[in-house]
Amino acid sequence: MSAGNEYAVELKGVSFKRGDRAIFNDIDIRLPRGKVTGIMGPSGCGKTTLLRLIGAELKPSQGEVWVNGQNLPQLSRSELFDMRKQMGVLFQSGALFTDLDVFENVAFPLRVHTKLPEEMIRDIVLMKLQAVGLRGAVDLMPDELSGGMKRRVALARAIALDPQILIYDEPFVGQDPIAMGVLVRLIRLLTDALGITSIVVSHDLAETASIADYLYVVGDTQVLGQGTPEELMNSDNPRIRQFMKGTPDGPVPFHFPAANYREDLLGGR
Amino acid sequence: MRKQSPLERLRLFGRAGIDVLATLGRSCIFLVRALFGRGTSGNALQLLVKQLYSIGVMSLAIIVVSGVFIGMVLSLQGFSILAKYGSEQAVGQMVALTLLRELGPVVTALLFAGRAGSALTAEIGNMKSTEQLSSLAMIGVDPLKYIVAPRLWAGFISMPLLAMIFSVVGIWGGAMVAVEWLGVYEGSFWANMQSSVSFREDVLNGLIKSLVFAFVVTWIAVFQGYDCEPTSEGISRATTRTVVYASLAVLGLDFILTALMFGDF
Repeated sequence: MSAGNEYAVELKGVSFKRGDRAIFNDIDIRLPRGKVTGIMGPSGCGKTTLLRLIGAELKPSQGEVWVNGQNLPQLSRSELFDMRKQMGVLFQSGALFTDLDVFENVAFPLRVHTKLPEEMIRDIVLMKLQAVGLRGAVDLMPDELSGGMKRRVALARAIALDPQILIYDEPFVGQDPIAMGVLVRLIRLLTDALGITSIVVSHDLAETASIADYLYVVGDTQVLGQGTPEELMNSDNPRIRQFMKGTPDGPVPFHFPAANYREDLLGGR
Repeated sequence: MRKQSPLERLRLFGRAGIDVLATLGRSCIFLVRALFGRGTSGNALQLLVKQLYSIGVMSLAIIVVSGVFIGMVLSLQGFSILAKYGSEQAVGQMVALTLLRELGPVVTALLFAGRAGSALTAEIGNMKSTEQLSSLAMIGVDPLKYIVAPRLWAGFISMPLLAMIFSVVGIWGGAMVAVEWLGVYEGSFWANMQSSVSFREDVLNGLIKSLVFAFVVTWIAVFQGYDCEPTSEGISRATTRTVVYASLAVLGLDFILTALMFGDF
């Protein structure tokens, strides 16, 4: 067993490739138990891929991914599904089941993994929906919800079983300022009150930095930097500084690698 | 377009062959895991009944309407040919044998591929593109058991039943045209049919055919959905592939099965 009690998730020497393109190259990441850890980085740097590696949806080309003391690439298919019961994942799109209404979406994990009586399932679902401010939307179908509301219902579903690890993929996208404030407080509250390990993947700097105990900045197939939000804000590393201050000029390019702009315009195809 | 060297063409040919074999391998693992993997969470019977309704019951209309018309056409065509030889009384026998042995299983499978098969592919493909399959997996529920297995079993169960319904309504349509319209004596129509149709040779073999078609068509449909590229274009291509592959597989298998069942080797 590699991960002690201190770390809920550990990535050791992980490399991952899509075709010939390396997304990660020998990265090490440790996510402390019972804390909010933010994973940040520019768009397309592989943040969501990192979450999928932690959830064992993807297998690393190389390296070990330890979650709660289990090395995921070595688990059998059925062991993986058992392990995932300890996890809750909030997908970027919400990924609600379109044939079920809001109530049934949130009740789904409770129905498949527990034998709770119907009254108790109802109470738990209403409590989870109350926490995300959508108890009133209990009878709506997913196509009647806005993008932000879908993600909040998905969050209620992700916390339905009170998981030990909660993974949030861009939780703040599309939220109005009120919902954003509630979500930020909720993530912090869930972590502090229930001792959940929260992993927030986001490029919303201010919100993530305001709740994260620890931050990783990834990019260019590497971990560019790590530390508390204050440490990263005051970092001397020009890449970290550029990202944390959001400036277009710096070592991290804004543009995807391309041929010379002038030549491209004048040369035609 | 750049001209390819013979070596490059050979390489591409080899690559295509490897891709086909890899897809076949994936589809076999997919099928075994879906059918024989560890039990699913949730109510398997409830999931199966839901799929039986959407795959089987919802296909009834197209099967019944097509069956009636095909039986009617068979009767009309058969009558006009048999009348030349003064054997129009055998039209009942011809309609029944054609439907039970061939058209019942084959046309049902083709209609099933077009109606239910394409819907299965599009539905599962859409679930993949909207991350619903990933979401299920992350909740700790195996999508192969929860989404794929009930659809596979529902296809296996419903298509043979639909094929039987197709044959029955086809024979009824044929009788309507032959007896009511063309004036074939009703007694001869049914008596000829009864004396020439063998349960083991005709009905059972037709049923076996439709079971094989059900297996292949449903397998192709769910695998194409599960394996598709999760984009609009990918889903559209997978849906087309389902209809094309399933139709070709049905027609090819029909020849093999017919040769095995009715060929005098």
